[in-house]
Amino acid sequence: MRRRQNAGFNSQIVEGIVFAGISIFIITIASGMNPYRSWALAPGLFPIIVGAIILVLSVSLIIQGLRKRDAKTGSFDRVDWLRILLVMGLTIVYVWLLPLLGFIAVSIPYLALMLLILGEKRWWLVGTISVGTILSLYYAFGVLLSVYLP
Amino acid sequence: MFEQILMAMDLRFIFLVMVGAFAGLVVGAMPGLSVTMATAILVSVTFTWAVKDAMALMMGVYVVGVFSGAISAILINIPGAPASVATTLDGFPMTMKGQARKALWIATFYSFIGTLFGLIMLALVARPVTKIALQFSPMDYFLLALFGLTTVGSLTSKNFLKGLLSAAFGVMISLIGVDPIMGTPRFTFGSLRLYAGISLIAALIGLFGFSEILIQIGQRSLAPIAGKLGREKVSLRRLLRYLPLSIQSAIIGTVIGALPGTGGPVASLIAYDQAKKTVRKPEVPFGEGAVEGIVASESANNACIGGALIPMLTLAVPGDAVTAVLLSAMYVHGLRPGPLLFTQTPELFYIIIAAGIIGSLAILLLGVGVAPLMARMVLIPKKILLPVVAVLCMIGAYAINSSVFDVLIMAIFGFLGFIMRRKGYAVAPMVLGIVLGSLMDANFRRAVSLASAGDNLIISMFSRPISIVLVAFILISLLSNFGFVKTGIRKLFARKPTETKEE
Repeated sequence: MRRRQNAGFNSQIVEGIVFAGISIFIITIASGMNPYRSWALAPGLFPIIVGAIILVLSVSLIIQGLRKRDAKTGSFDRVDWLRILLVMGLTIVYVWLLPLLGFIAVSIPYLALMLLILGEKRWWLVGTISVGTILSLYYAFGVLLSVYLP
Repeated sequence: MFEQILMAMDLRFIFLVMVGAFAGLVVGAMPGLSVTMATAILVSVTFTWAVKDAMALMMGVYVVGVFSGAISAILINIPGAPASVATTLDGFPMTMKGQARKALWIATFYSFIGTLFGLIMLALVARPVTKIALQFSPMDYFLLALFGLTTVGSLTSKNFLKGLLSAAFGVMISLIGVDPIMGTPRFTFGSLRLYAGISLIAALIGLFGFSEILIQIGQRSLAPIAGKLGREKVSLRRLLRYLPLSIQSAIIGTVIGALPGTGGPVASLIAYDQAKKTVRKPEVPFGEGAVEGIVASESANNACIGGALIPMLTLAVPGDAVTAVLLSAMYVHGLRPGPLLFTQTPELFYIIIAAGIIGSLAILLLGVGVAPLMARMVLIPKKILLPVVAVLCMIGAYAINSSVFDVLIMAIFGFLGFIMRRKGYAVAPMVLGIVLGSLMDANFRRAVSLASAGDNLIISMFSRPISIVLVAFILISLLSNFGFVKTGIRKLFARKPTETKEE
């Protein structure tokens, strides 16, 4: 229990440090966005202000993390990471193949694999749902609603 | 006026509004298919039609499309449109508690009330509201957007600081792309695909929809979202209990709708924030399935329709994206909306109000008849529902710009949303930041530029009465999120216990 509380406390400080780093990066890049030498209309003006606000909030988050040792910062204790990573990996491959093979050819195996990853074992159901759903969606979007699908 | 509105309603007119309404129900409930896109397609289809028929069809799509964004927001936690973001906050928790049917009833009834209120306001106060809206300077628009951002306190039930960080990063994300004033690329890191910026809809589907899928997939149990739809009947008496809150939210919706460039998302979030502050004892806490949250959000975003039509009809200045398309449709038909509308083509004003009223009745019909059938989807086991919703997310993200890059953006935001939600960072403030960021950026720089010509920058920027009122609202909204202020106010209005004892 004690270890979990400490993990939460450290997590908020780490998040604050990461956000502070991002804000400094934003401010540094935005500082160079003033090609007309007038800050009033400079493209970098607003990003600098937002970056500064993020920096202040990040420091506040670090301070809050230091003060509230028992702060609940959320956890990944009960997450099935294997499933998450499989779905994310499958989605990236889907996005990569979509323009190459087209909507129907990529979406049917994507949907079938997703069903299998989530534990559906009946092959006939996997086949029926994936083919039926994708063809129905193609008809609804591509034909009826005139949405161009790859 | 009443007679003229009634005269516009013949059978053909009613039929066309209903056809549009059904299309609006489908389009609005599908994330990625926007009402704007549907009305834009209709302009090309109806440009040879009589103006009355064309307006009937388009108004049907517009009115019901705004309402039906709530259906997917309530059932699967994916807002059909940005205006329904606030509806997810209490709608989806109600579904998970087995109260999907009740949530849909509430959304239906108060979308109807909101739409009707907005249309009545359009008929009655079109001109005065327009006069106020016309006086808004760039600084006022910036302050209004900032006021919208201060509602993050309502969107984050746990940690206000994390909510602010989420909103600030949302604003930052909205700044990616070509700068709207000078045309300079910002934070694109050489990628041409980022020049157009991050697609709001792709980010919205990712943050709400795909992240929800990842969260559900990450759980060991994949039982249906809800075990039951709930058979609880909502009596008319019980429904009417929320009428004062609905009117309050509808007023907010109408006024904000009348301000060009703001629209439904801002209106519903501000109304939600105000509801949270004014409703002392909701049936359940806000964010956990409070009926009041749905009432506020849906009344406001539907009242925006009447509000957005006010400047469009009287000044030819569209209040939101859909009214911009409607405006172009009017020009295609050779009409000239604006100050001369009431003298040259007064019938158009009544046609639009008549179509809106029939559209609002269509909300009731479709909300009661069709939405409960759609609600049955939450009874499907998650191992079947989630993959299908994932494919819908892909299509939704792709459909906006026919861009595979947007699908990638959606997936990235989905993973980001998953991490954020697990770590206690609400995603709604980030969406709010993305919606309001570019509006804030452009107006702030215009305001600074205009004020820099004056003697004192600060006085030039903040001395106008509207600006002062908005600054006061922002300060009140911000301070009300801090615990010590809440305690102070409570103490101020509470009876002192010592005095009671003495009595």
